[in-house]
Amino acid sequence: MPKTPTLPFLADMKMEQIILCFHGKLNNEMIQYFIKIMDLNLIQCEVRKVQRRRIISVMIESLQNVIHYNARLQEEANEVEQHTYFIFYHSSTGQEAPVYRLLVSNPVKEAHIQNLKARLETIKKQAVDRLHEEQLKILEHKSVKADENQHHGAGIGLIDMARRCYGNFDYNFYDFNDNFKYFTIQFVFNGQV
Amino acid sequence: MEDLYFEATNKTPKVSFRAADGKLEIIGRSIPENSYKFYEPVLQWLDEYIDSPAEKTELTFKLDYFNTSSSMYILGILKKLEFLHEKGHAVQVKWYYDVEDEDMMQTGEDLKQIVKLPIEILEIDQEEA
Repeated sequence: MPKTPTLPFLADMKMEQIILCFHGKLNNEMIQYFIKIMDLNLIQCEVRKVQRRRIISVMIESLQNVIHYNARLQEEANEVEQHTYFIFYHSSTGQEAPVYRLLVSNPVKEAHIQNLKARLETIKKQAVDRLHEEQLKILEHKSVKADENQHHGAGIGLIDMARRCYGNFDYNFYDFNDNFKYFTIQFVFNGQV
Repeated sequence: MEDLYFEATNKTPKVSFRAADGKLEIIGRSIPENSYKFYEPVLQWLDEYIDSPAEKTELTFKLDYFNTSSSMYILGILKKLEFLHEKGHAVQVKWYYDVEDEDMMQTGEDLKQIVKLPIEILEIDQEEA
């Protein structure tokens, strides 16, 4: 049996920081339970509703991206989809306001990396206001004719997630196997916004 | 013309479209895995409705979460009503948001920018939220 690839950041993560952690094969049914768990935890931590909804919206969008991507891979997805990670944790230090981090990691085909990287870099370079304008522009032009090809969101998912965390996200690609790399994206939210 | 009614689920909103009095409602959460599958019948119903609409059409949105693929269809619905409005029919849209959720209010403002329709942006009464 092949050895399960490990992610370097997991070794540094402290148990007490983790609010919700999932490793396995994701499906859409699970998301409703994650929403409940996340919301309850964030209410307990007195995070404002607007921020709770931002965090949860990013979680929904990022997990559905993984589900759609795995569906696109079809046969190959069977080999890799059980290696999805979703970790929601905080990194609070003493008196400072808590910072929440949402990390999603899934194997991505080598052939798709270049495009994904280019898209993420373009988004990262843009100011939040500019992202808002772009999101509106895409919505305006793509919504007119709704067809089946649009159920992936026409590329506004990444923009929307970047906006909701004020551009505070980072990504990386780690080794997985010869054909895939672990794509890891992390969104950072200030708990006091 | 028959009414359109879908019960709300954990992933999809309640849809209640009444042809006779033009009261249309989309309420709840819209995070379907396949938005096309969910919204296509809604758009088709509207295509038929536009041919013989009620005297006044009032569409209410009251959503907590929606994914970006749903946002395309929400706008698709509004575009259809914009067409109805352009033909001279009375159309009113009510976009509700939770008072603590500025982002949902902003989405209402964004939609107002994109479609030429009278869109009222209203706070959800806390007791009914």
